[in-house]
Amino acid sequence: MNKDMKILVVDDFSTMRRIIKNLLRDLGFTNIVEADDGATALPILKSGGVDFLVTDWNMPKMTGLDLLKHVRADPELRQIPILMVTAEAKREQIIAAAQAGVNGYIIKPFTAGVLKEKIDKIFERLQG
Amino acid sequence: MSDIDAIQDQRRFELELQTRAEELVMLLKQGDMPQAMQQVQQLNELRHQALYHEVGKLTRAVHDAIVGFTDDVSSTELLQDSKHHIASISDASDRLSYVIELTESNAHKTIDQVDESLRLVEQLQQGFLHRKQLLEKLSVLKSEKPELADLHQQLCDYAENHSGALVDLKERLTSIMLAQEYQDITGQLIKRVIQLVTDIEDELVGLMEVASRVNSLGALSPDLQSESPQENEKEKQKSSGIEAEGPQMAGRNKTEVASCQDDVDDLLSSLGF
Repeated sequence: MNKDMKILVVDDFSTMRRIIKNLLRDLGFTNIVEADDGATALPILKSGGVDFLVTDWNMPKMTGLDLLKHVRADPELRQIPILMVTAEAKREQIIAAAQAGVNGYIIKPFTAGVLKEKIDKIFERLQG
Repeated sequence: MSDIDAIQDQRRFELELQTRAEELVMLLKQGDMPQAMQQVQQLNELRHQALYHEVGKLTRAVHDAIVGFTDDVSSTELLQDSKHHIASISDASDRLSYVIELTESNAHKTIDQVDESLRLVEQLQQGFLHRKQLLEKLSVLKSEKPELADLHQQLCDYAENHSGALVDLKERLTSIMLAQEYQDITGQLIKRVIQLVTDIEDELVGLMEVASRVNSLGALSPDLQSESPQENEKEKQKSSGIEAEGPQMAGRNKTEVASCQDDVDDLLSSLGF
C-alpha cells in the first residue's frame, strides 16, 4: 500500500473529517484532502489524482450513496476504492451500498483499529 | 375541559341524535317528505357542529401547548396572535441549531488539545531516544568502571517504564479524539428533530387558519374561549419572580445576554456586588 496516495475524506461534520484525517495520519497517510458533501467532492475527484475515497452517507445536497453511484458510473473514476464511514446501519442500506460498489463499510461510532483493518483489507483485495 | 364534561357532551349529542331520528321515522311513516328532508338536514348540521367542536378543542389544546412553550404569555386571546406563538417554535429550532454549534466548537477545542498533547508526546519520545544514546555511552564506560553497572541497570529500567507509559498515553489521547465523534451522531439526530419541528410549525399554521374559520362560525363554546388554568398558572409564576431559561445562546439577544465571564462580573459589580 502506497502511503503517499491521495485520500479524499467527505463528511458534512468538520469534527468527523478531522478525526478521520488524524487517524489516517496516524496510519502514515499524509496526503489528505477534504470535502463537506458529495456535490463538493465530485469536482475534486474529477480534477484527478485521488487514489482513495472515504465518505459519509447522510449529507446535504449529494449523499454518499449518490456520490458512490456517480463515481462508479464515471469511466475515469470507477476504479477508485471507496470506504463508507456512516451512522446508517440498516441491513438494506449496507446491501444497497454493496450493490452500488462500495469496497468497505464502517459504522459510526468506530475505533482506530477498525479503520486500519478495513483499509488494509481493501488494499489487500485490490492487490490480490 | 374535563373528561366528565366531554362524556356529558357526547351523551347529549347521542340523545339529540336519537330524538331526531325517531322524529324522522315518524315523519316518514306519516309520509311528510318535505318535513322529513328538513329533519335529515338538521341531523347533518348537528354532526357538523360536533365535528367543529372537536376541531376547536384540539386547536385550543395545541395553542395551549405552544403558549406553555413560550416565555411570553401576555396575551390569552384565542387565535388572535397564534402566529406570534408559533414563531416561538422557530426559536426551538434555533436552540437546537445552537446545540449543534456549541458541541461542534467544543469538540474542536478538545481535538486541538489532543493534537497539542500528541505533539508533546512526540517530543518526549524524541527525548527518550536521546536518553537511549546516553545510556549506550554509559554502557561503554561500564566495562571500564564496574561500579557503574548497578547505576546503568537502574537507568535502563527507568527508561523502559517511561517508554511504555508514552505508548499508552498516545493511545489514550487517540481515544479521546475518537470519542469526539459523538458530535457527528448527536448533530445528525438533532438535525432530524429540527426538520420535524419545522414541519409541525408549517402544519400548525394551517390548523390555526382552519380553527379561526371554525371559531368565526361560533363553534367554540364560551368555556373554551376563557383562559385555561395552565395559562393562569404560568401568569402567576411570571408575576411571582424570574424564571429559569436554560443556557443562553452567545451572539443572540446581544443587549440582554452577558456573553462572557467579564460581562457577568461587570454586571454584578454595577449592581453593587
